[in-house]
Amino acid sequence: MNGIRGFTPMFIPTVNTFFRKNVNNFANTTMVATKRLLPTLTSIAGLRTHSVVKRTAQPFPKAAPHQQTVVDKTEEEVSAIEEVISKVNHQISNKSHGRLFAVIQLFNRQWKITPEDVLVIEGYWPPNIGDTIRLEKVLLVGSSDFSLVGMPLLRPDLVNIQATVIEKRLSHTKTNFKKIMRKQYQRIHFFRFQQTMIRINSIELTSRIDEKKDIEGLEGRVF
Amino acid sequence: MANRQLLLPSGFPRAPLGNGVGRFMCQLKRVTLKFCKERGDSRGMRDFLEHDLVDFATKHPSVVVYVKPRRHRSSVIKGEYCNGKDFWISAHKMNREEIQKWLHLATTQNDGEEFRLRKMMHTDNPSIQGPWTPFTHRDPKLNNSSFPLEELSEPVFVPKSATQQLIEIFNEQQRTARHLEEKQGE
Repeated sequence: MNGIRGFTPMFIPTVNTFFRKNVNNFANTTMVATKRLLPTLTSIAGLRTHSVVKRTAQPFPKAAPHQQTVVDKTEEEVSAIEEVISKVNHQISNKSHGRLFAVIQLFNRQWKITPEDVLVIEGYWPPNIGDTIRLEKVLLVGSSDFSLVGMPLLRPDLVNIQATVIEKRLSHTKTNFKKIMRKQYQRIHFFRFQQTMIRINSIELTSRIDEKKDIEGLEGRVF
Repeated sequence: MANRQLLLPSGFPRAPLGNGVGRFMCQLKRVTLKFCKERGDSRGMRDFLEHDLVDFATKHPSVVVYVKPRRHRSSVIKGEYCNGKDFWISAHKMNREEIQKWLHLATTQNDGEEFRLRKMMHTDNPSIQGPWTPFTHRDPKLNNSSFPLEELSEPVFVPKSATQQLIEIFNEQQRTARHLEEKQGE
């Protein structure tokens, strides 16, 4: 038993051909070098594996900035980034960005909204008619010229989205009819669900996008 | 969806007169509470009038409240709205809490119409950055190229051939063998 327990294979060289993925761990370091030696499919079959033209837009990076490896940017890149940021900041300070839209999460559902929209929220939701609420879970804000993407959320002091509850009503009567054949079982239930309509009043950008505060997300909080 | 619901009038989320843009206005204008002073089925309504009516009226200054006693008829809640439509519900044998609940509904809804919603949101500005077309995010050089284009006619993904897989396996074996030899040499 002891022998089996203590048995540690030096390494088992296996290549899982089904997944076309290298399995042993030590090979990670040398993999890059060997990949170059491999003849490409192009040289064998005269085929191209991927088109040069990119078919899709590049996806947004999935990892948050603090989880990524920092790569030094060249001076050109830095200047380009600064130029873009200053242009966006200029539009924000002048309010020349025009109509804004936002992607928010409300009631476990994501909505793309712009001022003067009407949303219908189905289910029990406490706000009453005439209440003005601020929608704080903002995933994205965009104008015709730029989009600000949260990772996953935007800073609460960057965006201010105001909405008013305008109506609380009941849905039409929905029928739930159950029947089991040949078993003398039949039930019929009627439901009317609560519906709340909210009007989006405004979407505002309230600060510069490159501002970094020591403490974030505490504005308007009472402890 | 049952047949009855297909025959229901249906519509899209709407708010009368741009309600909520700038200011909000309660759409209920008048509510009439009809009841009998003697019969037991109006008891809930009488309780409501005794305890909660003044609160309700002070809380909703924009709503006119009428109370109408009538002998030996069951109790009724009737609301009238800005758009001229009515909401009528019999409060027969309802208790005080039920009447509160239905009156709250009458206050918060735009009219008493029962209709099926076809969409859960309404927008006048469906797109700010322009709707998606097949040409968004594509290389602008496609504008000048002539079709059919050889590059675009090829498959996006070609699975590895058996030869390629064999070559890879062979190379892997060579590499591991080399590595073993190195280790043994050490």
